[in-house]
Amino acid sequence: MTVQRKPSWRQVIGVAAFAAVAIGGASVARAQGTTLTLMFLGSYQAANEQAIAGFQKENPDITIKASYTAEPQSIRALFTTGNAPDIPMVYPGDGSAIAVKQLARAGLLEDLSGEAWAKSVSPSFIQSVTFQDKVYVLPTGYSYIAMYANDEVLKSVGAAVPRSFTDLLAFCDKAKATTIPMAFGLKEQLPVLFPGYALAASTAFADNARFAEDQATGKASFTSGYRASMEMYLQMRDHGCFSKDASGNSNDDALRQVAGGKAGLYVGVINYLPLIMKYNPDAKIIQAPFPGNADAAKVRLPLGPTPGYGVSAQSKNKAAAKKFIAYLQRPEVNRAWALAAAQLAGADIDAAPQTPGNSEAIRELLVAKRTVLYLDRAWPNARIQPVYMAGVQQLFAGQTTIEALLKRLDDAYALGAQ
Amino acid sequence: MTAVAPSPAGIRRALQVPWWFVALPLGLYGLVVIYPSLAGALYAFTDWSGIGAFRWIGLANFRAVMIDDEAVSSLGNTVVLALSTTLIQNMLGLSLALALNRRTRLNSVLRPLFLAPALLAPVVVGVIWQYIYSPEGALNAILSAVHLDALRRPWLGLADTAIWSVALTVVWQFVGITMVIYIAGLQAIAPELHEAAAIDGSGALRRFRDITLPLLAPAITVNVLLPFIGGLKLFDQILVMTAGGPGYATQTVALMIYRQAFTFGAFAYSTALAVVLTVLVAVAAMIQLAALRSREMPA
Repeated sequence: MTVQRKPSWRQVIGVAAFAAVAIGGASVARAQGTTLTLMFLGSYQAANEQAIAGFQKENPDITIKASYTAEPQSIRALFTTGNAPDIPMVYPGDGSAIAVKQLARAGLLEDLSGEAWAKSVSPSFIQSVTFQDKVYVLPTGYSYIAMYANDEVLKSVGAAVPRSFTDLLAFCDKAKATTIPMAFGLKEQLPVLFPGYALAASTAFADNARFAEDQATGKASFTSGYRASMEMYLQMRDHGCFSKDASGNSNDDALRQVAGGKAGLYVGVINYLPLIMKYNPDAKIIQAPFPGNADAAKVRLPLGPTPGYGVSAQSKNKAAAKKFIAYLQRPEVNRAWALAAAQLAGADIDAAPQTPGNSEAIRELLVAKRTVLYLDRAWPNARIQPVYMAGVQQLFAGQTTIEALLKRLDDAYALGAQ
Repeated sequence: MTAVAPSPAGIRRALQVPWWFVALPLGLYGLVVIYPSLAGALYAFTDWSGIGAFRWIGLANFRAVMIDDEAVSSLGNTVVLALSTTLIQNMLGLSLALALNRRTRLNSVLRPLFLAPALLAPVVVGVIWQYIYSPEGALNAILSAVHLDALRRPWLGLADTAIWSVALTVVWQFVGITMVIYIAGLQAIAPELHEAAAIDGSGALRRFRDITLPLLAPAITVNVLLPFIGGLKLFDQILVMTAGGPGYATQTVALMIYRQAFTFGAFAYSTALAVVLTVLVAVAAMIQLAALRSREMPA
């Protein structure tokens, strides 16, 4: 039998005093430190966590609470409600609801032009991270769109990596009898951009390097410049480059197909290379520029800064947030971040860095500056890209024509900055 | 002792609900439902982008909705989905109810089985069926197994099959609820009515048409109204299974509202779409309710 004794007043006061001291002590400890909130796309979690761990080790008084999302647009909603993270993920350019120009235009981002690193942002990409000549985002990494070839499939078909668009169509003609020439996740909208951007980069932009500027001043348009890329897209379909099931496949299905040797080629951003290797560590994958032109000398590499780090104008911890961003910009930290994110390090972008997967063919284009900024980075609003993605799906489904799609893109472009 | 019958005025007084009795719940409802809804709807008359200041632009957003091809196509998809799911769900639900109405051991196992999908979250159902409809999924595998390879296709990737694939998924999930409501209706019909009609020589079809259907009218009202309203608001399954594609082939108004707000930052325009959807749901529900109630027999 257990006898329960009532606690005496002395005991109650003692426990209360201990609790008060303990809670008070904890409060003092917390008050001495700073907690930052950070929100980013889930696919960057490994790179972020590694950088955060290093930063916190150097700055034990600063804690970073990171959260990740598959729907980065939700960050905009947090700005709306006044709950924006101190360090929000920000897209370069103007083509997204959380793009730097959209957020800076609304006064929601802190001007980072005074930071030491701001002067070292590559002049080739500075426009993507500025608004009215002020820098608002650190471009930590750069990605590009490339073609990934399964060497085993190429050998079984008896073909080499296509170097020109003519080679590519010939490869499709030859390979389609025995395999899927090119894996394609047409059920989702994002993968539609990869071959499309690569084709336009090597046609519209190869013929006129100032195409984006001309489009902004009205001298060029989707109708005047993108027709060839759309026609080539459909030529690929008509030559059997994609499987008849492509419209039902996700991007992940496509990655598994090329990794597992069910398809010969895949076109996508460099960030997907680790996933391909994860799905089949034994696969020999050859990385090469997508041959978007019949003349191999005109092939261009679509390239651009990936989502970067900004500081919310609503933040109460701006100094600490800027400190973290400055830490990310340190060359050794930046390179480690880029390695974990399978990207080119922002710190090395002008020095033609080694690529993830060590592709000499890609590096040659980087050295020769045969690159084109991701097309949407120069588009003036967030409506154009969805029209492009849905429009290409409709094109493949026979629900629209190239003419009609180009007009819709021009109409969306004409809406201007929003 | 003689009982005195209460006067009609006394009965009315006794049945009257005192105003203060409903004031608190009504006030709370107004505060947490009516006020936020109306306050939110006001943004439809502005150019608010979700952040920063805004200005009043009158009916401009509503005019834009009327001439927006994407909005019109989404509205078309929404109505097709709502009508088709309501129709198929009721036909199947009623058939199941008639088949499982009798109390047998087998039926007591089958009823919960048919109801089970309704307990799943729509997102989960969407994920499951996305795999079933995928090119290498169960549906195509079954077709191959029964030597119907010619029918294999990427069901969610083709514009002419995607919307029906989604509709069937919705029916699969909710047909159990329709069945349960019909079973409840069937069991409220006195068996004597059928027995008397049978003695008078009525066949099964005649009894179904003249006894079962009229007496099921209240259940039909509920079973038509709920799936139709649910169909007009379809979002989760579409987002998971097709994201509105291919192109805009399966985009519903609810999905477009989401995209306008969170992808494009066009909060005001999306609010205008939401107002249009609300009005559509309310009008459709009222018309249906009036039409179906008039068919119900007085208790």
